[in-house]
Amino acid sequence: MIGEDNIGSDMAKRINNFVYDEQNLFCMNFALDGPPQFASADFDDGIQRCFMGYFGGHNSKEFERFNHDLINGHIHETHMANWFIPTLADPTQAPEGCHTAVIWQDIPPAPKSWAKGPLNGMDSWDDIKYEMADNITNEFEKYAPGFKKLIKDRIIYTPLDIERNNPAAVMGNWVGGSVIPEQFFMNRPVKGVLKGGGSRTFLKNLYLSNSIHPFGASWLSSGYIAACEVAEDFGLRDQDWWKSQSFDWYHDNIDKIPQNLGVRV
Amino acid sequence: MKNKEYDVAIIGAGPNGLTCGAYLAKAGLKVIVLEARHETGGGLDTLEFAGFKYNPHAIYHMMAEIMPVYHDFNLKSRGVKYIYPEVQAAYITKNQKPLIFYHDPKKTTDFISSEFSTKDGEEYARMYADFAEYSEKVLIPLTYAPPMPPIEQIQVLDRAKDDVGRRFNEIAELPPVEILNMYNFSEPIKAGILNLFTMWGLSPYEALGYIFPLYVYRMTNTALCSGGSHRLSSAIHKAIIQNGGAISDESTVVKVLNRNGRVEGVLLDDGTEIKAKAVASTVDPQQNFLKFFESNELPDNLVDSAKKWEWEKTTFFGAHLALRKAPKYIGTESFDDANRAMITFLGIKDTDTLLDHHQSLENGQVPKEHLFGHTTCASLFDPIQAPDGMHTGRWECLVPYDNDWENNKWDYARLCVEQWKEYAPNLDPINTLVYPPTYIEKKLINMVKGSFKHGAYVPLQMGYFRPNETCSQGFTPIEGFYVCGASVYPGGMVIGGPGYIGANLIADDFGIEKPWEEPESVKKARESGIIQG
Repeated sequence: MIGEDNIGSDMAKRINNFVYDEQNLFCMNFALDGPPQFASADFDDGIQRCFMGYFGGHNSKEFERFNHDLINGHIHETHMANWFIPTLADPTQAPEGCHTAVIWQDIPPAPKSWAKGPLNGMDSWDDIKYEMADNITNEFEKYAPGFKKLIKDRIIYTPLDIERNNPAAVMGNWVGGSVIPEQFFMNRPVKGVLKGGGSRTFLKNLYLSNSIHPFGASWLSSGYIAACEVAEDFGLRDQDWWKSQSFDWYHDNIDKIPQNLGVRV
Repeated sequence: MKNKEYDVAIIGAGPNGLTCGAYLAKAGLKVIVLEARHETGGGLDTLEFAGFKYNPHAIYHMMAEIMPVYHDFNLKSRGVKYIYPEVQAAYITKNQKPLIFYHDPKKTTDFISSEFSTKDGEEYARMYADFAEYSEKVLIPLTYAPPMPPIEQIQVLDRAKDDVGRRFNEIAELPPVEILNMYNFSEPIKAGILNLFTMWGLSPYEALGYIFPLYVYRMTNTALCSGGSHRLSSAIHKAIIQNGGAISDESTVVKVLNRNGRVEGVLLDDGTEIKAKAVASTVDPQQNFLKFFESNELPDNLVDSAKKWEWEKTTFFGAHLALRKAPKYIGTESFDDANRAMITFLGIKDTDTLLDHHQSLENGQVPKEHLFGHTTCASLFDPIQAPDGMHTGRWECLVPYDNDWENNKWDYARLCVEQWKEYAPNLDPINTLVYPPTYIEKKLINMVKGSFKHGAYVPLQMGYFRPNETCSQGFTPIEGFYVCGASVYPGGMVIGGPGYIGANLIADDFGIEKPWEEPESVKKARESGIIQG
């Protein structure tokens, strides 16, 4: 939006090198006729009350191989995934007696290969998504026998789908760009873009609220930081209703902050 | 919300609840709109999956810029942009040239004259002029004014200064097939016109003549809401907030509180009581009169009529596709306009076929061989409804509700896509969102059995009898309880009638000055004597 001509060549180069290609999610959302019944409930029925867990990856070696493939852009042959059953915690998210479930697996966003052979990066997802979803579902069925019969409907989201949904989620990256040392903390998004490590940029009056510290997720932090700094620069930060103070305030008032907040030692 | 008192609590935030709320908030009343779902809009629903926008409920806005709410709230400035595709409808069959209906009636006339026959072209022009006149002078103004008892209505129209009232009376109680027979059409033109009405699950044989001209006229003047249908409800939602009204979602009303025949508020399913001087409900008659009240709180006739309320016999099966290319239809090599239609109808070749299809649906048969689906590629006209260079494909076909849709939906969706492909061989969906009748009912609980108009359009549930002759004008025997949803005159679809009429009635009952004027069409109808007073 700013244009490379308005940015120094060093900065433009660093921004062009910003990466989004760390591990991402292959996500399946299911509408279910009932709650999954886990085989391991025979040993401990507490699993039936868990709303999240993992399957696959029976030992550390397998995890290592999985992650090795992930880092190198290959979809691992066997599946390891997280599962969630939100309706165990919040039944209002499905019709009475029905449930929802989410299964996601870490995948490289632009895969180079899968078990059957080479792939064409991001463009491959439309071709392989249903087969991959079926494979992961078949794997989950081993841990939750009868799961497939419970499925009323499903929605599958690949990195390509995520990017189509939100062009700012490049390569489906939902945290605003890879979280790697070169792009983390004071260096986020890349060294030199931010002044002070918050949301103020090298361009006066341009603030960022994505791809800054800490990184995107549902903690609403980046937007809050941007709101604080914009308000400060407009001289509007001091509001009765805005109870949380800026870092500078805490710094300046450190002596006045009660040390003992009433907690008995 | 718990401790607040309102002038008016409105049940349901679909198009009518939002419309009613916006007007009453603008009039200065303290309004709250209560919605059971997590978002407002009702059938004005747009789902976004992977950058593809799907409109699984309403998509064709028949009344678009005619709706008073569009003007009175300057919805254009609130983001509502209506698009009128030049080609409104195209009929594709396997052995015939396509039939095309344009937005411009002159172009349709010329097309029919040159590709079918001069006689058919002339008849189309004659019919269109008649239907446009009935609609503009009678049906549109009556959509935004309360109904009268049928005999009085006939007398008013007969006495009107404008002769159109008397002429309209002559066709008002005829079945659509008989009205169509007044024009000397050949096939497939006759089938194409009739289908603009029967595509909504409306009977060609019932005495529904009074709405037939409106449907045919408006289905060749229909609009898409840019960005998806939900943009319309979002704009009205904003108008309510900007006028000081409140909206509360996830708020399911279970009871209308009343004492001594007077409304006192509503009770929500979480036990919250909301005090209100008036309650306006936009939901279906069975919730209104069987759920919200105890039977001893209402006259017997209201309870009986609600128990006998007839849901629609047919509903829609939907399949929403993500496409790399827009569909290209067979037989359009010399008729490329047929590839740019707002609605494309597949396989309807003559009136007999259409009537047989209607009959088998009425008999509860699920179409298997010929589905006669209609399709829309909204992204052709509104590219923001799909990722760059890609398209959305919307399939709908009429089906009976009674079927094991939950278990059959995927097989039936495959059948729909296969049939579509027979007419558009380049169809190659990346994704398919299946939307069976059960999803309609589950999402919008007013639409029992997938009744997207909140109840059948049969003579005893239409006009002055919708939902019954006591309540069709919006007020009920319970003082302060009003009804103004799709199950009330003038009915469902995105027409903005019931909510507007309800708001006027409530504002009058509160004795407040209304900061809006009657629509021009209503003013003119009063001048010509079509509307009394």
